[in-house]
This record gives sequence, structure tokens and C-alpha cells, in this order.
Amino acid sequence: MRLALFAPVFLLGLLAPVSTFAQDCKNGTFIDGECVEGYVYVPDFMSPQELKKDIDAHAKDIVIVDTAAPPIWEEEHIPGAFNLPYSKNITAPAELSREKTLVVYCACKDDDDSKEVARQLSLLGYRKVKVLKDGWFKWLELKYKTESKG
Amino acid sequence: MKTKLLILPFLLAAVAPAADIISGPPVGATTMSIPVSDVTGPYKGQLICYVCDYDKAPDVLAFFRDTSDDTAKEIIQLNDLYLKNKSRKFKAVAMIIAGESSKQWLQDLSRSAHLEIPLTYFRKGPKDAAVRVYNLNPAVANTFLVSVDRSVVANISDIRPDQFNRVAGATSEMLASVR
Repeated sequence: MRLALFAPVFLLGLLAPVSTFAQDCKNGTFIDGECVEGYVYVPDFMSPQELKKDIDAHAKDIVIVDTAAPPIWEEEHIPGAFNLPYSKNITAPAELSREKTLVVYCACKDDDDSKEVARQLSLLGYRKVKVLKDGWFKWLELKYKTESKG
Repeated sequence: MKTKLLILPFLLAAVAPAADIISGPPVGATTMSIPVSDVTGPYKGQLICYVCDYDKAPDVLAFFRDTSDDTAKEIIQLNDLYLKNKSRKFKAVAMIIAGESSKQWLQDLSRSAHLEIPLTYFRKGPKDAAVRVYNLNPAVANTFLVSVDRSVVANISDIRPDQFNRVAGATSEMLASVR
């Protein structure tokens, strides 16, 4: 009986700081668990020429991120690209470095999927995220090298 | 034992809708981007992803195994559905799985029936990765995905032209919900 009385009080006690915290961020956006007011995501673009230069130079400080569904990524992708399929709620994979620059691309005319994935990654605390301008289609048009899985 | 009995109805409820799916992703799945070859749309002659292009708009993604009289009738019905609802930002696209062999047929159909919706085909035919992305069953003639905000709200597969009202009905329901 005593436990039944204490349990709701205890639960309310646990919930109170959470709701206060949520209210504190009413006018802001949570970025990596911190409330940032007035946050507006603006994509930072990288040109395919720049990315090719980095690939040719074997740059160690970039990670290329392909937002395609796995069967499409397996078939063909930009050399070395990591597959992070488009989703409305991305969970950051542990193997995606927070120290390196992520270059996100997709096969969309206006880079819609890559911009959305880049936005979500920035909300997850990835500070260095770029969107490959004109994405996969431009890469193919420029006849730059691609690779398949395995 | 009691717990098992209590869980059973929930398990059955969860499994039931999936069992009805004979081709394509289930309701609630995210629509993934797939590049297709555009024959008659605004990007004709190019590889384009209409799933991305339509993005959050309410749409019908229609996959047809091959070209046939029934496919033609259903594409015309889909175009009519589009004309009826285009003022509500509704979009529709027809994609032929068979591949490039359908190009001329699509051009002729679009011209003769004065179609406005883009007609496209899978660049690599039935072996295209898009078949696997959308889990399309090669045994069925068609798969209609009614979707909005990049989520499938209805999956209607392997229908005859006289059953197209199922697609139209699901589209009306979706449009009513996004008002």
C-alpha cells in the first residue's frame, strides 16, 4: 500500500525535470542534447570537383556518405562511400566519425535526401557536414570513378 | 500461459496487415529514392528520381511489370486521377519494370492518350536494384503505392483495370487526411 502511494510521487519527481527541460527549449532546437535558440539549418555544399580532388589525394579527414537504399549502394557508389540510407529519423551509426568532414550525397535532382540527412546529422551533433552539390547524377555526368560493393 | 494468451491477439494484429502484402513495401514504410529513365516527363531522356522530386507531396508511385492493354488502361486511369487532384499538389508517376524495351510503347501511349503524368522505365529492367529496394514481386502485374510525406499509406497490388477504384479510394482517403 505504501509502495503504491510512493510510486506516483516518485514517477512525477522523475518527469518534472524532463518537462521543465522541454519547456526551456520551446523556442529552440535540440542539437546533440543542447537547446539552441534560433537555429536554422543551412546546407554547406561541396562541389564534385573538390570531392574528386580529395579522393585523388587520399584525404583522410573526409567520410563520404551515400543516402541510397542498400541495394542501390551495393550496385554502384562513389569510391569509399559509407551507406547511411535516407530515413526520417536517422540514428547515427557508431562508425561515423564526429571528427571528420562528412560529405553526404544522394540521387536527387535538388539534393533533397542528402540535405535532409545532413540536417539530421547536424542535429545529432556532427559539426562538419557537407552536401555534395548535384549529387550522384552530376558525379555520373562528369564520368568520375565509381565502385561496387565487394 | 495467461501472458501468452494475452500477447497472441497483439501478435496476430501485427502480422495480419503484412500478410496481405504481395508486392512492395508495407504501410508505414519510407519511400526510398530510385533513379528511373524518364520517357515523357519534364526530365525526359534523363535519369531522375521522382520519389525525391515529389518529396513530401501526396502521390501514387505505380510500378508495372510490363506493357500490356491492361497496363495502358491503368496508366490512363492513373492520369485521370492525377488530373482530378493536381490542384491539391497530388503527383503520380508510372514506372515500367521491363526496362528500355517499353520506351517506344510509353511514348506512343503518352501521345495518343494525351497523358500528363511522367512515364518512366527501370534502366536495368527486372534486374534493376529498384526491384529489390521496393521488394517488387515479379509475379504480379502491378503495384500501386499511395504515399505522403515519404511514407506508404496504402499498398494495392496485382489489380485489374476494373479494380482501379481501390487506388482512387485510397488516394481520396489520403488527400482528405492531409487537408
